[in-house]
Amino acid sequence: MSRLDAEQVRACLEGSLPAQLATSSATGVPDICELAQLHFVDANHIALPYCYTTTLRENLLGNPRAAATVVHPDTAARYRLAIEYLRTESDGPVYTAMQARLNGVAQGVPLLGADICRVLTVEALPGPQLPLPPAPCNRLAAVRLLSQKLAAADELSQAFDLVLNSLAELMGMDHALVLCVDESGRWLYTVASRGYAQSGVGSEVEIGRGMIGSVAQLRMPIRISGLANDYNLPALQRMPPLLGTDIPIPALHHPHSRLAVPIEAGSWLAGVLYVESAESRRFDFEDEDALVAIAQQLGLAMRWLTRPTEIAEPLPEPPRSAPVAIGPTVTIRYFGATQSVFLDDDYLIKGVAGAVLWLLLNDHQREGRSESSNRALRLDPRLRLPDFDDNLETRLLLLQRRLAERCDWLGLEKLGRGRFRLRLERPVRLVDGEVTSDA
Amino acid sequence: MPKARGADRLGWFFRRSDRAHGQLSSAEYTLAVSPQARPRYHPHAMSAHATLTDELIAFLQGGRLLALASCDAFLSPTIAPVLACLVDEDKRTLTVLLSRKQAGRLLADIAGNPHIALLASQPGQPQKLQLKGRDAQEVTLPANAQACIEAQREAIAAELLPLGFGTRYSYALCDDQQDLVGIRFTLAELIRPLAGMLQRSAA
Repeated sequence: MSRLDAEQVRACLEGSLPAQLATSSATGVPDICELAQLHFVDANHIALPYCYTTTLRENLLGNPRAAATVVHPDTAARYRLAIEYLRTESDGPVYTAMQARLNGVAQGVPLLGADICRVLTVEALPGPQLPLPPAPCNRLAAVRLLSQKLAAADELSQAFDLVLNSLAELMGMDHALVLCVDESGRWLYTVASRGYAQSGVGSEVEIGRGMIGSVAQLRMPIRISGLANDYNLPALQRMPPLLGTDIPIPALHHPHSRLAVPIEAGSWLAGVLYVESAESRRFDFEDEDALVAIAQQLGLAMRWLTRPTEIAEPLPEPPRSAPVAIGPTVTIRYFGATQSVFLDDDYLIKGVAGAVLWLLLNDHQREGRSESSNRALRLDPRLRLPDFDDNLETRLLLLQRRLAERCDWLGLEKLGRGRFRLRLERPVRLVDGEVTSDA
Repeated sequence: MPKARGADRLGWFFRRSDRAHGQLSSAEYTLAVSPQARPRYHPHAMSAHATLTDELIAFLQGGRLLALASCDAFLSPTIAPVLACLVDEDKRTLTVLLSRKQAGRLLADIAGNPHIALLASQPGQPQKLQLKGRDAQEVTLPANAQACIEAQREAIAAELLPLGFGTRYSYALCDDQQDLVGIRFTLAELIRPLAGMLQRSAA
C-alpha cells in the first residue's frame, strides 16, 4: 500500500467536519483545539490559519510538532496527520487563498498569517467506512466540452448563456450568475443568470463586500461547503437603496453550498462567476478547479468578443419616419446624477446602460433614428465613454436583457456585430428634470 | 478579585446569581480562576479542585465530537478520537472510551506522561470545552461502557443530521468497537479555548 500524503486526504481538510489539532508545550503538556479548515498547500504541506494568539500558536512557536485528526466528509474515514510547523506567511498565494476562505466563514476575523506546516505522516485510522459515492460528473470532460463550445461563440450574450447552460447540463450546477465589473471598478453587476425565478440582471454587488465582492477583490476563488458562514446575500447589495434603484440579487433561500471564482483574462478582471446549491457540501475542490478553468476561458472569450472591431462598422442608416406607436403613453424619467431610467414609476436601469437608453430615446424622438452602433456610441460626446475597454458591450447586453425582462413594447435588437436597433411600440413622454416633451 | 466579564449561555463558569453582581464570590473564585491565572485562555479558568456542573456534563455527553491528546517524552503530541465520555459521581473523575486501534501511541504516551487534554465540540456550533488532566491512566472498562457508546452514537447522529450528515455516517463515526479501552483522569483544568475560526461568535 502506497504511503498516504496530504493530497490523498484533501477532501478531509475542507472543514465539513472540523479538524482537531493537538500541540504540546515545551514542558510536555498537551493542548487541543479545533480548526474549521486546514488549508491544502501541496502533497507534503498544509497551512493553519493564524487568527489569534492562542496556546496553539504559543505551543507551535515553542515546539513545532503537532498532530491532527480529520474526517472524510463522505466515507467517515478518519485520518491522523503528524505535522511540523515551518514558518508563517503573511502574504503570497497561500495567505490570500486562506484570507478569501476565512472571509467566507467568518468575515471580519483578521488573518494574521498562514502557518505553513510540513506533513510528516498521514495515517488512516482503522474503523468502519462508508463507500465513496460516485462523482456527479466527469469534470475534466465537461470543461473540455464547454471550452469547445465557448471557442465557437461569436456574441457575448451567447458566451454567457452557453456557460450557464453548460454548467447546468454538464455539471449539474443549476443556479448560477455571471457578474461583470463596472466602469468605476468598484461594483459588480449581474449580466446573466440561470435557475432563479427573477433573473436579477442589473443587480449590483460592491467589490470587497460579501463573498462575491471578496472574490473580485482578492481575485481568489471562495468555496463554502458547510452551513456555517457569515455571508448574507441581501447584505451584498448596495446599502441603503438609492432612489429605489436596487434590483434584488437572485439567491436561493438557503444555499448550503456556494462557489465563486474570478473571471479574468491576464491582468484584466472581467467579473465573477458564482454558483450555489441548496445541497450541503455540493461543491468540492475538483468543482472549484473546473470552475476556475471555465472562468478563465470565459474571461478570454469576453476579452475577444468585446474588442473594438477592426472592420469599420457601417454608419447608422439615415433617419426615417418612426413606426406608429400605439397604446397609452408611458412616462420615461431620467435622473442624470445616477443615470437612472424609470418607466412610469418603475425603476429600469442606471449607469452607462441608462445613459445609452436615454440617448437612444432622445435620438428616436428628435430625429426618428432607431438604429445605432457601438462605434457611434463610443464617439458620441454626450456619453463621454473612453475609447477602449469601456464595458460598452456588456452594458448593452445588460440593457437588452433588462428591457426584455421588463417590457414588451421597448427593446434593443441586435443587427449584427456592433449594430442594434431601438424598438419602440408605445408613445412615450420623456422627462429629464424640468424639460418635458411628448412623443 | 477579578470582575466577571460575562458568561455563556450554558453558564459554564459561574452561577447565574453571580452575574448580576459582576463580581465573583470567594467560593466561585476557586472555581473561576486558576492558580496559574491563564488569561490567554479565558478569564474564567478553573482551579485544580473544581467539579463539573450538571450543564457541563450534559454538554459533554450530548453528542459532541470528542478527541483526546497526549504527548510523548520527545514532546511530540498525538491525538485520537474518543467514542464516549463518562463522568463519575464526584463530577471530577472522567473516563473516556477509545478504540485501542485508533489510539495509536496515545496509550504508550500516557504511561510515560499522564498529562492529557480532552476536547468536546458541538458540531456546527462554536461551543467547545477543553478538559485537562495530569493523572491519566488506562483502566478496565466500566460496566456501562457499551451503553454509553450507544447513547453517544444516537446523540451524535441527532447533532449531525441537521448538518447534512446521514445516520449511517454518524453511526460509522461511533460504531461499536470490539477493542475498547478506557482512560481515566481527574479534572485539573477546564478551558474554553479561543483557537479556531468560529470562536469569534462565541467570545
